[in-house]
Amino acid sequence: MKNYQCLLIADFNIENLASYLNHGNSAPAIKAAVAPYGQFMQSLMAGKGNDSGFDFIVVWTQPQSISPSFARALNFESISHDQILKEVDEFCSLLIQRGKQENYTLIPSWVMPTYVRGYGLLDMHEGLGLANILNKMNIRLAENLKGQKNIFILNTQKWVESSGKKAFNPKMWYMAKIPFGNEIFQYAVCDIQNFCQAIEGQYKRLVVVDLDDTLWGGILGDEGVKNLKLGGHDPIGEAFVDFQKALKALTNKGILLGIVSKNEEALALKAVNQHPEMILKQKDFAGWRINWKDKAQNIVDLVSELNLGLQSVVFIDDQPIERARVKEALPEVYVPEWSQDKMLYASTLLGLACFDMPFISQEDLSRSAMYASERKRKNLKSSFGSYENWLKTLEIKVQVERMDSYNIQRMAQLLNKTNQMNLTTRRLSEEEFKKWAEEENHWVWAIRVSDKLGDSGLTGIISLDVDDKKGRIVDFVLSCRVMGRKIEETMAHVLYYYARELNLNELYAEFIPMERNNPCFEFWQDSGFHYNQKKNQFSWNLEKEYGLPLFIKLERPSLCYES
Amino acid sequence: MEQRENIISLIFNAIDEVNQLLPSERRLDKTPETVLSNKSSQGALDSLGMVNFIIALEQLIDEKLGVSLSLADDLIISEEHNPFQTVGILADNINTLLKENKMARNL
Repeated sequence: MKNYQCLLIADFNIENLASYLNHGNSAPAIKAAVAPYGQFMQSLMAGKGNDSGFDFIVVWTQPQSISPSFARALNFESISHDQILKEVDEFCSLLIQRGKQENYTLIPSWVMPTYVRGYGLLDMHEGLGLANILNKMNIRLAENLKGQKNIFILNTQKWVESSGKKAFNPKMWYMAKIPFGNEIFQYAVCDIQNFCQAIEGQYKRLVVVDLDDTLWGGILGDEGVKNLKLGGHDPIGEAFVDFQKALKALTNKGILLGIVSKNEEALALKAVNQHPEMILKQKDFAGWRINWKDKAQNIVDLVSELNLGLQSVVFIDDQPIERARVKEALPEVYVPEWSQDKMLYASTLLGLACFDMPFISQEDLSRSAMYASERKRKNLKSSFGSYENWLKTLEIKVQVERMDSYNIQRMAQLLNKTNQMNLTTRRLSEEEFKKWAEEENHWVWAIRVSDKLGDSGLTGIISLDVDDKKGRIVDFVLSCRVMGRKIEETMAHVLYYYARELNLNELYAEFIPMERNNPCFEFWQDSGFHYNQKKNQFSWNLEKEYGLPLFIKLERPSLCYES
Repeated sequence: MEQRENIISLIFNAIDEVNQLLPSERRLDKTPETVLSNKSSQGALDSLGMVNFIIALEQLIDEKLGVSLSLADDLIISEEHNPFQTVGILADNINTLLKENKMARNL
């Protein structure tokens, strides 16, 4: 995993946060530098130096520092809330200006020490209360920064609540000009590390759950469907229903569900489909392995079926021995400690940070439906003889489009999280990718794939760097969801087509081997391109046609129109 | 004697907390001889490290012993006498403070 560099800019002594980041043991490693103390505004306005090389900056302020009117409100002076919000707007302009120069900017939201009672009973009173205006300031901050895709507001209030009475210690302020207790910084480190993993696409995409005493109470094989503890006027039964609701909620933001359970498959699926209190139905699961085999092996099989990596998986099981087995056999799988108390299942799941995403695309939202379509495809596949025959029945349509303001977010997400079908696995922020695409002689296209069973959405990226008469394929990226359906060959054909339009003589691709992109190498080896082993380079003489797979319907914009 | 051992155990807990803020080569050992504060000693805490240590220790004493101390005020540092010099010396000083505190409460 990448090591990150960041700059901390604060209106207080933020050395402790830097120390936790610099000397912590948990991944990813982050090296933090601190802007000079007491020069907060100068540091913010100075802009990014030419050689700063920071992956992101953190701008952490106290509300009274950015709004003089709020500072006066703290002294119970009569202050117009509109004036305070105007000062928030001014501060946001500075943040936006600086944010444009950075890859990413993180801004912890504003909080007040918990010992400040403000106006007490009237503290949420409109036009008067300090809590009231502080909430408005944070909402205004979020509204002003809504369009800034590389600026993220971190929820400091959450850290305060989690830290309890250790959140603030006035002594830290008097002795070291630190307004928070160190627990706050430890929670901040967790969120900053989660952010780094999220932008790398390292968030979890699949929750694999056990059944007995995990999804429902009781042992199905012993007690039968009717006697399972699920729903009803029973605290444990209600807790299992809430746990299922929390799992179902995850599917709404694109997280897939799977089952790995030691049970009889037919009986287990009958319980899933027929128990009247089941929230999750068979269609909610992207896949399952219900048998008496080793759960670690079952997870490997399931993940392979779903074309995911083991690092995408969270495994939830009530049995410590099963958790220990999976933890040991599959260290890439995240196995959270799981409470023995069934009434804590839902809250434990809701508190997991591993599902944090930097943004949610349309593809994320419809991922569960896409996997349901994929299952139908596989069922269809089994009824046809050859693979080619099966592909023909799918009526695959590939649409090519240029990078634009609508698809750039999804393209950057795909570029950064795709491993298997990825020629170079280069990682770029949205801004960097956009900048690269705008440079002369650079061409980038997005690939959308659909078929008669569903829309897989934007699932591919191809790009060219043109130098004289040669076109270097820089990105050749395809989501594993659509791999192996001749989309790869179609992408190579599209590159051939545009290279001809650009009057080039040769097209070539330099493969950069990484830990997981061997499927890409295998594709290029079978692609028909000439392979130069010494350079690890595949090339195509453009005098020769590179054909489009016959059953693919292709829609591509013309090059002239776009430029 | 038992009280002193309790205090040393709390000091070790505070060292654990402060060590999270230090690079591995500067982390403090958990022994009574460990130097905490000494201008001439390389292994000692710097000023921010000392603030973090004192506050962590005060919180631990408050939580575990139910006594609110202000170590930076109550333990006077002078040229000749540094109550924070080592873990052992600090434990003795806190032990004395706690006894005085108890006596004051009993008055």
